[in-house]
Amino acid sequence: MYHAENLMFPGAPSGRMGEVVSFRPSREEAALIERARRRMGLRTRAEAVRFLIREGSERGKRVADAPVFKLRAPEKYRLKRSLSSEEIDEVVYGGDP
Amino acid sequence: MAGLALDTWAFVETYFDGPRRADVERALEAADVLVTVREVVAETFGFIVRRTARTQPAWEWWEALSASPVHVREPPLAEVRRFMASRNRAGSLSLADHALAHTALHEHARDVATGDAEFRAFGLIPLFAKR
Repeated sequence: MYHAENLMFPGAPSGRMGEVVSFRPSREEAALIERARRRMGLRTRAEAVRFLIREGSERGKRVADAPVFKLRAPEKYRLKRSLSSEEIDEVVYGGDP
Repeated sequence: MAGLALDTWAFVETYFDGPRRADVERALEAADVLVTVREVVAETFGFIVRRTARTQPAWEWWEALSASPVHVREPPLAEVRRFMASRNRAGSLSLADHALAHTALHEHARDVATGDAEFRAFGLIPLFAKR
């Protein structure tokens, strides 16, 4: 059972902004809450619910579900091997200092 | 795995689809909290610009990063300096590495997604260091 202070989160009963309500999340919502808790580094699930409510359910869901670095460079830039820190420094800073 | 700190190496490996990409992504998925620092973002941005000879892909990478669950911290440099001075560390780590080590320890993240073995000197675990 969670206590929510506004009602944008799916599954929360209807009411007014600022009103404290309680709701029992569905299994899907509970999974989203847990993902948001882990992804945002929050201590408790109640904090995750507050985060999801604050961000709005759509953005909160996107953050909780976001894959890490879906974006890839074009194929021609694929690395043939792992680069060392020194090689990265050379490219970033343009050669040896 | 609890917290994972991300170094430039990990971003380069994932973005440019390097040979350890799958391993890095598995570590990212397994971590509860992902954290990096602004200096690492700047290094990675610079790397993408230099390697692709274009700025737009770097901004697109940043947009993907900002929509991801990675927390980008901005520790004050004076704080990073005090931290490093207190450790009395020599070595060849960059400012980005120092800021990342400081942030990782501050946030109780012991694992670092990096190939740089020097992070061991701080009691951190560089997950992809060869030696």
